[in-house]
Amino acid sequence: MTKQINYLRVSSAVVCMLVVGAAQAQTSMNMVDLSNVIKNITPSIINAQFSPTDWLFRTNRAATKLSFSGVFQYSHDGKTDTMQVVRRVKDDEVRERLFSLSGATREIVRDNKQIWYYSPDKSGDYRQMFEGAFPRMLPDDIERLKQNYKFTMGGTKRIANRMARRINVIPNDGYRYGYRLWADVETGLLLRSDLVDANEQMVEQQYLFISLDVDSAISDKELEAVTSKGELGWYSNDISQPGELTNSMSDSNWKLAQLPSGYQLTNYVRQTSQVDGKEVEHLIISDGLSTVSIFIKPASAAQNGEGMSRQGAVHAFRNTINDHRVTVLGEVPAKTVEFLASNVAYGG
Amino acid sequence: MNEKISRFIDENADPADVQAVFDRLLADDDAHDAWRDYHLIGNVMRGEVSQSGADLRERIRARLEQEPTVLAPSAARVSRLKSGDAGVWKPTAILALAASVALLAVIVLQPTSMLSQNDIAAGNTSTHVDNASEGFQQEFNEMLAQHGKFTSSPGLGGLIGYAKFVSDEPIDDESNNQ
Repeated sequence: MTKQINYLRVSSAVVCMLVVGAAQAQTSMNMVDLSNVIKNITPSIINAQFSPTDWLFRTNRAATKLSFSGVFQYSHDGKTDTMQVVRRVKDDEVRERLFSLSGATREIVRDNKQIWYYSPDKSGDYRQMFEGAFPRMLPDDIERLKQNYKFTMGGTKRIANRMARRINVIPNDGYRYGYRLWADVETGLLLRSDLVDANEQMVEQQYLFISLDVDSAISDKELEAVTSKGELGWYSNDISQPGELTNSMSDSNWKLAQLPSGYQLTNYVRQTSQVDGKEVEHLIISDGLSTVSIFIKPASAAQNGEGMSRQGAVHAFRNTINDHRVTVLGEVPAKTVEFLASNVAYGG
Repeated sequence: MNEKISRFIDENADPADVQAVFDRLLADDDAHDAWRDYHLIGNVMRGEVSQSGADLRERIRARLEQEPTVLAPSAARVSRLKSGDAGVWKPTAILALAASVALLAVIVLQPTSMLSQNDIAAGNTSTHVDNASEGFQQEFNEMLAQHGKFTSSPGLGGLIGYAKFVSDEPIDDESNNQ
């Protein structure tokens, strides 16, 4: 009985949809037995309504349109942290607050344009802000992605007291990571996201909700940082002076001899570093979902740290070619950045 | 609009149509019904709805009678299949607008971890071997910020992707309390 009630609760949106549809059909087509419709509303039918692609569109839509508050866990390097997130979408304005619930108080708040970060346990009152765009989650051409990833539906499980359906985005080879996603059956919001490798082994658990309220009334106070934004100082408006984006390296003296399967050069831009004022060539390599950047700039007299490094799921490989520092980085396996680094050549 | 919904479900939607389709689905009951029925049709054709019952099948039949072209593959898909178009992957405004988790690395200035060749060969890329220099860290963060403008991933977006930058630091809370 409990299970039946739960199914009805989590699938209320779909139930309403079917019941309304059935009622309309009854009046206009004179052929529907409403009780039969309800009898056929089972989780298997509800979940059969959507393909993996549909679910990805749906999760993207939910992420951009719904307000919610919840507590989630983030796991990395053998550690698990607990955090609270509150997001309010109202009249095209998005405000959000991310707040640590363990350890020292750390939080990030943002509105449509800016991010404020506060972390008192980093070098005293460490406070900086950043201005920038916010992520878009959905690649534009999922058909194209299917060349390099398998999209499948998994089963359902209970997460944060809600029914969630698993969507698998599994890479076809070891040159990219994929995702295991669990979407709330009722709203489409993602309740869990794991970054996985080609063997479906988890690289990083990006988040796992342990409680979630959707479309609840969220007050201004819930979105305010403990630290007043007025006390914070600007960090930077822009990191570098951007050049003109192209998708060709025809003006560059550098060449890419070979790319990992499925990747293509998608953008090329020359920028000026605000760290040292040097010109940087930035190559963007993508398979549509996984993205790798190659930065080429004149080497300084004394530079160290060559080789592979890692920050979270981001791998970076650095070496020096023809008196230039070449850095390859991305949220991809180590062998991908190493492969690309070995194929950068000065072409004259 | 129904054609757009059908094409959308057939995974051939113009990205420009997607927002309009979703807006219409939310606001228009007829469009909502079309969305539901086209899904049912597709699922039945693939044999994925074995328990749909006579009533649902009848609704599908009725929908087909109303719009008999709904099962025809879209012109775009036919054209692509015939030409075998491998095409060129074109990053779109979606990717160009994207920011990523990497963006806030600039704010947090977490040190990167160096990996040895043995670690890489062994696939042990989670092992911390050494810390990069502070000078490189600043440069690395700048690169991460630039890189983040071109990335995308499925998920909730917004701040939740930045969890790693609010995650607990290796400070000894217990000793502080003693």
